Amino acid sequence: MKRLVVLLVLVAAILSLTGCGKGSITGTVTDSVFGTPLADVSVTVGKVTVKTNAEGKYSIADVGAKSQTITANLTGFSTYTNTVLVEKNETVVFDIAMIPAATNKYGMISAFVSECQGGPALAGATVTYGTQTAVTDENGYFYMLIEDGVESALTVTKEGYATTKVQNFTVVSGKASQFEIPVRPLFNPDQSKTPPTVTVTGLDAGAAVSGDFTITVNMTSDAAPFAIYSYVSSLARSPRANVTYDSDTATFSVDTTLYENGDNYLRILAYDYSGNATILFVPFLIDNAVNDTTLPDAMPYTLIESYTFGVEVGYYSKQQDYLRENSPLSTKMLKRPDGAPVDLNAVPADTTFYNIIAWGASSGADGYSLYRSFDNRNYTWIGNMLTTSYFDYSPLLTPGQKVWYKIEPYNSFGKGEATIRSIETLPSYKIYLKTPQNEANNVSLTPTFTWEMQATGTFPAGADFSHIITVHDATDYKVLEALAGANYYVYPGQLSPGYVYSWDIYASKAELYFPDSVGYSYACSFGGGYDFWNKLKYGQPGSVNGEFYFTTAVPVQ
Amino acid sequence: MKRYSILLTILLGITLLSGCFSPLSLSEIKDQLNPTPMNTHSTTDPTPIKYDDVPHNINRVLVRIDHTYREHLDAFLAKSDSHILNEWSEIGWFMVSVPTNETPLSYISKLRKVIGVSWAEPEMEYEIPTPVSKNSVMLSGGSSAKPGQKYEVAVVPDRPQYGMQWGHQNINSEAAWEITTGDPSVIVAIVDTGVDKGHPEFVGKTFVGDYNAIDGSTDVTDNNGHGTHVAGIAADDGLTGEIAGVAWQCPIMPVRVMNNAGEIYNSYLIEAMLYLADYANANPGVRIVANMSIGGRGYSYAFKDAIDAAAEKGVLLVTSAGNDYKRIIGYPSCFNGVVDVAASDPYDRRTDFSTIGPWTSLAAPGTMIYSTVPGGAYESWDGTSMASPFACGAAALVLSAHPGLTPLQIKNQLEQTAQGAPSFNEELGYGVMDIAAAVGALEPMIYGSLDVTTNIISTDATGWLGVGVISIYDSNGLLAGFGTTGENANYLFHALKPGTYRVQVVYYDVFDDLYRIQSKSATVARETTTAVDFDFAIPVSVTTTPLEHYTIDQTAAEYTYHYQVDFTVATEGCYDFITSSSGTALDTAITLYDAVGNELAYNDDHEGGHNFSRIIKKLPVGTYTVVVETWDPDEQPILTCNLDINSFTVTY
Repeated sequence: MKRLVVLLVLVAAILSLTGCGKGSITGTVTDSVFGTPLADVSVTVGKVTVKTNAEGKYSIADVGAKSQTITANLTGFSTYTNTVLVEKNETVVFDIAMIPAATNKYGMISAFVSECQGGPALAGATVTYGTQTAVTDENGYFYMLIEDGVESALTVTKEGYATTKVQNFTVVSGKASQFEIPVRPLFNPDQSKTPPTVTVTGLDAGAAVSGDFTITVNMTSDAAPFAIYSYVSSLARSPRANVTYDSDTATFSVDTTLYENGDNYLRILAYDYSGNATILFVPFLIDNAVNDTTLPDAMPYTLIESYTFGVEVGYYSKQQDYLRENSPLSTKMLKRPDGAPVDLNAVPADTTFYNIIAWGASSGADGYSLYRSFDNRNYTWIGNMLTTSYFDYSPLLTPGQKVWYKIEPYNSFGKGEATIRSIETLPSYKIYLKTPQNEANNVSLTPTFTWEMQATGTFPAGADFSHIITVHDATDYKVLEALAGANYYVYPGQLSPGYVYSWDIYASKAELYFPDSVGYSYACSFGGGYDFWNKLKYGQPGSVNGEFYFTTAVPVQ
Repeated sequence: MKRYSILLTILLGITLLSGCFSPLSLSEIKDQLNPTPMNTHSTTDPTPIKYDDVPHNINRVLVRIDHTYREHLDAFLAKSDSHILNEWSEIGWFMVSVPTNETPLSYISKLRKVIGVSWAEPEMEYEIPTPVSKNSVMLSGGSSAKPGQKYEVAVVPDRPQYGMQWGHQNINSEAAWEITTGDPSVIVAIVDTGVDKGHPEFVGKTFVGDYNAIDGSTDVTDNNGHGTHVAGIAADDGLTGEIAGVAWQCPIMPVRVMNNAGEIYNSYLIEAMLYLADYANANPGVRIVANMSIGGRGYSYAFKDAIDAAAEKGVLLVTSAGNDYKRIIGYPSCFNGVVDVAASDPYDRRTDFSTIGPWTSLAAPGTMIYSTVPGGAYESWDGTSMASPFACGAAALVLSAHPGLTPLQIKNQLEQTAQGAPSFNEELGYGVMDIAAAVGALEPMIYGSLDVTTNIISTDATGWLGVGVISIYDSNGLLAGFGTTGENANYLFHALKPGTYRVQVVYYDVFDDLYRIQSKSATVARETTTAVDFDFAIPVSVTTTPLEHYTIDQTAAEYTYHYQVDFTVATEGCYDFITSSSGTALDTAITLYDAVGNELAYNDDHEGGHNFSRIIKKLPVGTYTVVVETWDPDEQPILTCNLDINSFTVTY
């Protein structure tokens, strides 16, 4: 029977603490589906068990200050187990969401629907599974209890959007499946909204595999096939095992020795040219011989940065790694200002938020398990990284949010020492030019250029702003390029009378240093196009509404 | 300029960081993210020409000379060890080599002093603004175009991949093909990277007049792919192969302007436009519409001349708006009179990358455009480069249906039949075009022309005098257009709406340190050219008198990067302070101070690593201090150069 491997992985960040002392734990237990408080739940930490009250609250005092296992039990729900770090003389607030086991006949899908992969939440989309339907909430989330053993397609539709389908979807009793379902805008209103059909050969569902194996993916679709993205051991946009464009077939090899032994899965995401998509999960078991005799070393160093771009489309942009990748003809054409070719695969242009975490290679590691947390307690597995960096474009990233990443090297012998680093995202902002206005006449020969910043939140203290102002004359030659920290700049000198000029904030950024994590966060105004650092020659960072051109005053003669 | 180069280096450092995450320490990153403030000097350069940020060829420059003075140019070139690389006698321009030990800018400065030379400029590099390679993420706000007219009957090409070509539905191609699929006498010139004529899609397609504007040969091999993609959109026939272009029966003329290094210089574009003019002149039975999906920031007087020369021979230039996402001035899209095409999406909205501006003509499909690429393949590309050939193909159909239209009339017809007309906006111009309407009844002409002429023209007695900056204001006082006088001392505005304009010309007289400003009224009427002439008091002779020469070598000095010397002005007048190389090329900066230490002028012009700075300043009687330093004492700690001080005697 095809079964979906459970994808919910909760791992706590544990750093062994020495020392002694006591702390306490308190929190609320809720139903993970409906969010309602649950009474009479048995919550156990160490040898102490308490029950929740009518409001779902519990409290346990005098708990040893160390990493503690916490469990929660209630009839009709799966047993909840997690780890909680208790600190001396502190009260830890630890809320628990119980997953219904119902009659052991139901499993749950808890997914969020986003506009394109890694894009903004898509609210109001209709989710259909057999005869069941649900509608995504304002955060793009929906929940659905699904009978075990039933196999059907899960489809997501919305007016103006193409259709995304999760093909041959099933659940495991008492377990929750959690993942992201991307939905693209329908490229052309005249096109079909029928999603593709995907088949995989070379890997049977549930098969135990070792060494290398080769997979072939085929898709059939109404519109022409656009892309087949294939992922192994990855819930995110990256890393991915393969991408093939403009073909109905993708063939690639997977070296399973680079992954951890145990349950794994292949995830296929296939798009046609209308934007319709099909997701297919194929679970399998990796079973390689242990050929290492020692654990991998800890990583020698770690770097972390956060970037925020204020784009036109809102907080999260839409996936557009269309064409820009893997088109040698296209790639050839893009040059950096120094004339060097640009690697279009380096950074997608489509993202408003992304965090970069990179690390030095661990000696002896086959790969790295990467986890993300928003509270430094509950860590969610992102995927197995076979390289030493990760660009996190998750739709879960929001402005002003602290994010922790845990990187854990592994090899066939086991897991090495993990490293945890955190960073805080900055709000996004846009620069709007103010004066001199576009097409203004009689502008002073020593104009004060002014602009304003529209931010989506308050910048933390210590954030530094830099704006690069440029002024070009009528023949398009640059007469000024200067750096400003405030939202104005007085022209140093005199412009010519009766001349035509254009001006702009060519680039703008905010920067904040986090000494604790030795990390940097940046935010950039983004007039469409690419980034502050001028990664690609095309596209304009800086103001949203520039350039403004104007003519200068003529003295009375 | 050096400072700009440094900034770029900083930016590129970050590119590498984000691209592959090379193991820079974060403190290194932090250092790189804090560039030195730029342009902190409080005085501006009086020289109105700067080429700092314009990519240009360091080996060649363009120069224009009156033919009667040709021997002066030849003599100067021979003396300075330069030679002529190309000559466009129609417009009086030459391309010459830059001698060793000269930079393009230092040599331009010298060329401008040669008798008979009216202009010299760098050979600028342009680019093909494509593909953006993004899908159609739109600005919010939706469409500004009106719903298009719909036609009942249509030719639907029976091509296997026609379904991939969404664009034809939005621009009413099928209804247009009912009226015409193009006349063989109308040639679609693809001024681009070449065309893969052997692509199976082009079986049965006629190619004429292949031209390689780099070497003058007929080799139009497309090493890039851009030109082949553009050609398929504009003029593939819908009778064979996988797809359908716009102008089926119109021959394609491939004109290659990208060299083997992947560069496009404006000399190639000039050569291409003049080739088209010559071809049209030699073949009176044909008409040419040219597509140039190419652009750049650098304003070139020679390029403007070449476009105007081609227009005189009936050649229409259709160009891409650019993929700059916002209002960015660029050329040739901002030259008055060309058809400037924005990119639209299947919902007839502007694609987010499409450059906006009041110079936009109309919009055409420009995202996920499926067309030919070399090697028999097809790809979907994004960009205004893909929109422009739709409009160029449409222009060919208009000319097929209405032979005899002038370039301006074709432009007018395309614009006034677009789906947004008569309303206009900066994003889509007159809206997404409607080819069926364009090949239908002729719309009234809305444009007239205005030729602004002046006497700001250099002579053998004056050398280079500079330019007049022209701005024209409509009856509401709004800026309606601008230009500069250039080497012919005029600017032709091909396309202005009828009405009365205030025309203002400002001319900076560097010798008198004075702006001379004149303003006149001119009335533009439909389908006519109005002339307005300006007469300035300009120098009739300029004599240069060498006053001082210093050979500077600070190797043994206390401050090795610094040199200063006092200079006494006994007679009020115009003085010239200029550095030049004395052996090793050096990037210098000159600052001029008055007797009490006020900074009067500063110049560090010219390319990083080069050796030429200059101040021209009108000075009253008094004592001054000239300071010469290496531009970057860290990089070039020892100053060795020449300093010359000259005076100008000017007669008006």
